[in-house]
Amino acid sequence: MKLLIIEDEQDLLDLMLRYLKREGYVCESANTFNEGYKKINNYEYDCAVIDLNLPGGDGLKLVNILREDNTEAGIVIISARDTVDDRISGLETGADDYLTKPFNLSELNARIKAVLRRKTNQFSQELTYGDLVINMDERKVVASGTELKLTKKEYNILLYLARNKNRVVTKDSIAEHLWGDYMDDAVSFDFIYAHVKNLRKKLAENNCGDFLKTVYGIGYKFQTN
Amino acid sequence: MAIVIAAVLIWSFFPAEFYAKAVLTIAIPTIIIVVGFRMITFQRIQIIRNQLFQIFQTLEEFDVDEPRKVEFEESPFPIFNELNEYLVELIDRIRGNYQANKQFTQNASHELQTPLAIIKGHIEILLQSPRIGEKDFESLAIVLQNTNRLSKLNSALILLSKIEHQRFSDMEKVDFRKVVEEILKNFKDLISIQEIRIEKNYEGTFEVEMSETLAEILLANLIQNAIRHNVEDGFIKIEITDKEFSISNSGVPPKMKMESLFKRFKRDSEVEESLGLGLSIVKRICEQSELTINYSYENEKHKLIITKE
Repeated sequence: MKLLIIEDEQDLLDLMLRYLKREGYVCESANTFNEGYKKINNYEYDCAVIDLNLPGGDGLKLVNILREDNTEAGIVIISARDTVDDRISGLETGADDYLTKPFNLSELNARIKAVLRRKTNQFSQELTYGDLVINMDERKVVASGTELKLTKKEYNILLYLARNKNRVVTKDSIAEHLWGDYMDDAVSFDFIYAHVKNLRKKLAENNCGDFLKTVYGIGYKFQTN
Repeated sequence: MAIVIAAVLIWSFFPAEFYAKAVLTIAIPTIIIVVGFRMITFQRIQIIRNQLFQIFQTLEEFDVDEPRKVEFEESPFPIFNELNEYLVELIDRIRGNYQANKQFTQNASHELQTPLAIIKGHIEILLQSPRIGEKDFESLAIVLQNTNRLSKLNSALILLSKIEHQRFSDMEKVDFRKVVEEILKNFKDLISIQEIRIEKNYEGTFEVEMSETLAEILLANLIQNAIRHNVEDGFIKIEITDKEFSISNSGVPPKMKMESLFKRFKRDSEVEESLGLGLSIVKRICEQSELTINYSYENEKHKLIITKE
């Protein structure tokens, strides 16, 4: 999988590159509009992550260009512009997802995976880890052959952790993933704890109890190795 | 004594008719002069009053957040012109300071966003490192916690400044019932885990012409509050009529004065990590959307009522 990341803030760009390279993607980057424009024209990518405020031009134009000549690539916009109108115009121009800054790297990772899954056939519609199978089309989870009865939130937590497998995922990133920006930490952390507890119980009942690890004070980890 | 003697002497020198003439010739002009003066003074007072009134009115209409220049009428009295000049200068200065202040808060919170995101990102990367020991992990957890706190605080401040600058343009007729139902759906698990009972009493439709985004933030904040400040086996009651929307919940009495409940950074609870900005966001949104919000505590029940202005 080949990604292109267009972002002018060097520190942020480095962060994304480090995080995404570890996922096994081949990553290329651009700092300016022109640099991004050249790369889009000369190479093909499976997914492009594009910042809107770029020196030299509006990132939306790049989205437009990319859509016009290569309909296959997934596009994720990352931007500090966060009004509903910005979102709508981003998605109408052809982006597959719109992530507002600041965001958690695990969230970006999960979004890119979701976009790639929809765009390409290389990603299977099922995630399989030993006896555990997550079917994303039907939003079903099967553990050792038995279908688990999960609530929507439990399913979302499991999928989010699985998409960031073998990485520590912080509680606040889970909270933001589940409830959006304006959720109070004090409330949400208790609920994440309760959800994970239930989830773990349901998994353990079907001999799949070892996947979810607690990282004390920080968050959780979906461990496969 | 001397005056009495002088009066008797004068009286004996001049006859009575003389007095009548004298009185007439002196008194009539005096009266005319007095009345004339009074009329002139009265007119002048009238003018002064009018001008004071105008100044008062201009000051009353003055809005620090509006760029329109404040102007006073030219006055025949130099003192008023001086006062006006002084006021115009004062207002310009207040406006200047206010704008600078506003700009600073806005810039500061926006400028903080990127460094905060970078710190958070690097913590996320550090967390993945296999070489970190248990003790280091503890430190990292604390760094992370506080960075999160900072970044939540920052985004709340950015939100507040956005509400204050009316940056939400998605105005439409918002049906509070629909929004509440949507939020309750989202919080369903939270509510059931805490075993909070939800009571609904919908008698009408409460519709408000406002930003939909703000309506969502407003109601989500209220419902979160009602969950957080609840007690074991508690309840949340939502009542809607054509005229008002109210949400009440069981809970312990507030420790602070009611007026200060809506102020920034005030918080009344043992609940940790609450920012104390929630209710001031609620209040801002209400003000912006021409809604009135009132709080009361009765029979071990917190109640917030929203009515249209």
